[in-house]
Amino acid sequence: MNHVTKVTGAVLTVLLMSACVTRPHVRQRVPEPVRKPQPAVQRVQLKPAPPVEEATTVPLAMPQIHQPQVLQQTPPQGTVYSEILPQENGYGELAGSDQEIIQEQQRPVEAEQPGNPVLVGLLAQADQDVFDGHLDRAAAAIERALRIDPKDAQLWKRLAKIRLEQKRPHQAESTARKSIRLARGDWGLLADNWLLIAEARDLRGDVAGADRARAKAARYQ
Amino acid sequence: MKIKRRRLLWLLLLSWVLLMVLLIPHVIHLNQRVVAQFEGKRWELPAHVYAQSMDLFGGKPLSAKQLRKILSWLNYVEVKQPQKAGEYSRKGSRVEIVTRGFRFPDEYQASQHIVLRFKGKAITDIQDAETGKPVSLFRLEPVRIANIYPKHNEDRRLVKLENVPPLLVAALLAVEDQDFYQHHGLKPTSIIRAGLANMRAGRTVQGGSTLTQQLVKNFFLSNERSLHRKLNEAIMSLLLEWHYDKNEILEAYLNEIYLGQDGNRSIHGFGLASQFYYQRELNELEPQQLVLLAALAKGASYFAPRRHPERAKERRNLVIDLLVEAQLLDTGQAEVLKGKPLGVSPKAPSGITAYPAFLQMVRKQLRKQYKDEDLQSEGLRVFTTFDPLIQAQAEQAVTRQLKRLEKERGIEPDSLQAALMVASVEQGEVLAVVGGRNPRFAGFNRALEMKRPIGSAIKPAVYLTALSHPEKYNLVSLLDDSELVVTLKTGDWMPSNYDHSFHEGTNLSESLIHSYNIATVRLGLDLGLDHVIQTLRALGVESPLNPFPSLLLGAAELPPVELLQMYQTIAAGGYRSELRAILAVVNQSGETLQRYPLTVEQAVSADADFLLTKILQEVAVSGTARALGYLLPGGLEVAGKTGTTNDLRDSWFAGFSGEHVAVAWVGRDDNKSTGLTGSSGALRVWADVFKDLQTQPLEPSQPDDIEWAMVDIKTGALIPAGCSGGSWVPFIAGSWVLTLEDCPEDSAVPEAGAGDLFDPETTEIDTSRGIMQ
Repeated sequence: MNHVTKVTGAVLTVLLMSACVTRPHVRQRVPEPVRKPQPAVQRVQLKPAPPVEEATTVPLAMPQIHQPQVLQQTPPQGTVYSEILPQENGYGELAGSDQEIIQEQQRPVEAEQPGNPVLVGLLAQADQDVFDGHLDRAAAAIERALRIDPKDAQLWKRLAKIRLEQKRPHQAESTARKSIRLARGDWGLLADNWLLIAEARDLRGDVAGADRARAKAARYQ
Repeated sequence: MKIKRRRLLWLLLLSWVLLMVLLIPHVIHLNQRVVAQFEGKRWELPAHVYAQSMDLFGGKPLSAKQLRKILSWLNYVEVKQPQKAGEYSRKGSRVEIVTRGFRFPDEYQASQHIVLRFKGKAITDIQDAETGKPVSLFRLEPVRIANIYPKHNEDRRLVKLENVPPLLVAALLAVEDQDFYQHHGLKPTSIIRAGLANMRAGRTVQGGSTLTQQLVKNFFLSNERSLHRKLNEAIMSLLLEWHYDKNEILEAYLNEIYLGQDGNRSIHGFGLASQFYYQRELNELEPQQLVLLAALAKGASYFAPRRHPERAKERRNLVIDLLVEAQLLDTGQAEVLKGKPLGVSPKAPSGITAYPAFLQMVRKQLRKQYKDEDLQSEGLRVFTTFDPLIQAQAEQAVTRQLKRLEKERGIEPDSLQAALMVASVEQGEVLAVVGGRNPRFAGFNRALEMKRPIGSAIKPAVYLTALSHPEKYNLVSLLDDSELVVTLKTGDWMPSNYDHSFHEGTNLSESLIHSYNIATVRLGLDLGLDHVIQTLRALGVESPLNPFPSLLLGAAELPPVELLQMYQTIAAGGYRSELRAILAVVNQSGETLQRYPLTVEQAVSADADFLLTKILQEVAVSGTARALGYLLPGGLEVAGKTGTTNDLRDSWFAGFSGEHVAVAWVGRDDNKSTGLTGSSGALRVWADVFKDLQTQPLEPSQPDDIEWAMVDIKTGALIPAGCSGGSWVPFIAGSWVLTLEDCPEDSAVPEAGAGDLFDPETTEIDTSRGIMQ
């Protein structure tokens, strides 16, 4: 073999060997321990949390929308109802009959009340901003509320909703997860958040993920 | 003769034509200059930088003393009975304010007259002073913390003519230019008169200049008073009058005229002068104060009220007399005004920002979007996250503790340096930045620019990585802290513990609580350096990281701001919110140019983060940061980690409460040893801030997947039901845990709670689930 080949061979050998020692080699040089009687142990898995339901392809029932009902003659006790004022149509006649009264059922409070009552006005303004399409302003208002009550899961959920409206699904999901993290045992809130996450995943085209999220929401409803 | 006269005429005509040929282009050129300067961005407005605006409401933890501090920063004046905007009164625990209107990015808040009541260190309620109606939430105008100046240090506070008090205008015209509204830019009679007077005196004693001429002088030309200049000035004045109407010129004058000097910062315009001399808005001034400002127009240096008060008073009273002459004041009023003192504040407000360290962070974030020239010339308003109250506390903490450390440990005075940053946990808003021992000094910003190895402060990332694998590691997993030799290409490395001993039978929690090095290195190598680096990146660390085993002990050079980001993520349950200094940038017309919205990223498993937080809480109770037990008020639960580098060169502490997260560093600029550990140095600075901070105690909410179980600490194994002894330990549901088959042999029953590694009292334990037989 000529000189060059020898050197090349040596270099290659060295390279090959060094390739084997790129990871630090950890050795333990300790004296033999004195053997103590050990309690018998076995590895066991800690009982897991309740299993998550498998995602099904059966669409969930839509949430109930309370329909106003036409009252009969005598409304039941305790019912809250409001009168629709008679309207005049073009012919001078009253459009509705005197007996028609629309009953406003006791609906669950849709506009969630914030933990801190001080925030009511601010959040109402934020809702109005969302309605008017001023999403950045609404988000800024929620951030302001969060400065006052940083761990209010409701506020984080509202922010997540705004992110969804802003077509920022990744942020919507992250923020909703944060709300979930802070929502202690509030099942309604947890359900809302998971539905939000589902919508966000839909927006990103993650259909399977959206279904899984809806399944999770169903758990809490 | 005839020929000579004709020649003379031709010569005259020629010279006249020549003059015109030369003059007309010159006039055109001057004309262009006049128009160009007058239109567009001629005053190079600086960008105003505002601190966070404080929300006031019943129940807010804020003392009356703190509120008054803020009001003084806002230049509100304490009076007996507040009537004008910018005034407040304080009677015991009752504070009454007439606020100024302020244009926030999203809304204009009108001036309001409110009453706040305090009890202890909190607001009890707020009411409208006139109607008595309760006010649930009120946003105070933000403190202006800086003006980003153009290169030649000019500043403006624009006023509109209709908003300027008429008395000021009247006084100005009376003393400077009575016929302002009548002339066409020049007053030949005044010029002649002044010229004669000057010739007689041999020097310039009188100016015959109109306001227009003065504006031109101030606007365009330097102070040179040659004939050439005067001619140009005259031509430009005529041109100005030709292009613009009287009111426009007057308004420009009101905003341009030179009225004072503050070091190398010149004061132009009455709006700024009002701030400079009186620290109030123009429409808040009293008559004699307005007259003084008008009097300064002639010669702000000669009549400088702080340096030459008698001259200033004389000049002011002269103007008052002129007003009487002009029948705008009667002699009685005049006498009263002349008797009043100047009312100028003894010290000029600082033009340079008091918070250069924070401002640097603002500039950095702005520079990503805007060029320097844009920032300095468009009159932008920048709304930040800064909290001046917390900043004050942070600065005092640094000063106090460094002095104390030097004294107590016989360290050379002024040799220690420090950095400190505070942010909100859930939103990552930067509240305070201290870049060095002398916070007023705009020098090297250690909080943002200094890169030092972080030592043991890196370890939580290693343990977090481990806890993210509940199939392998949990809080009581036994770790090996015995002697270790790591063979590297460069040779053998033998990490040692701080106390130079080996801790047999230690577990994961203990190892982090007491910051054992060897166990950490073993753990980190078992997990893989890449994996640990991944965790660090997820937590928000961006600086380069060397994938060597020493990384596990903190051989990573980071600036305090990155360590802050890392611990913000940990404090916020594993949700990283990028640290923000700016909230919004608004242009002069009130449009929001840029928002910096809150972002959330789930960086690490919430369950693993919960367990890590439990350990970090113990660090503050029984671990390396246990001094916090007596440094902080009782009930203030916190968590954190100390960091000390080789030879005690860098002392770190990073920690958080329920609401705030902060990082402190103490060391020397020359990188020599200080003799301080993380707990004897930086921890003290950190504790000094938190002990007085209005903050929430740390109460981590337990994720649903966490369960508690009875464990034998010695073996790290679950204790079967029916046995006595053991401690409650939280686990992630689904963890793989060792289980004892029999009750532990030496079941020395611990006293209630004594064996508990973690206090289960603060969280709910559902003992019906968890233990598998």
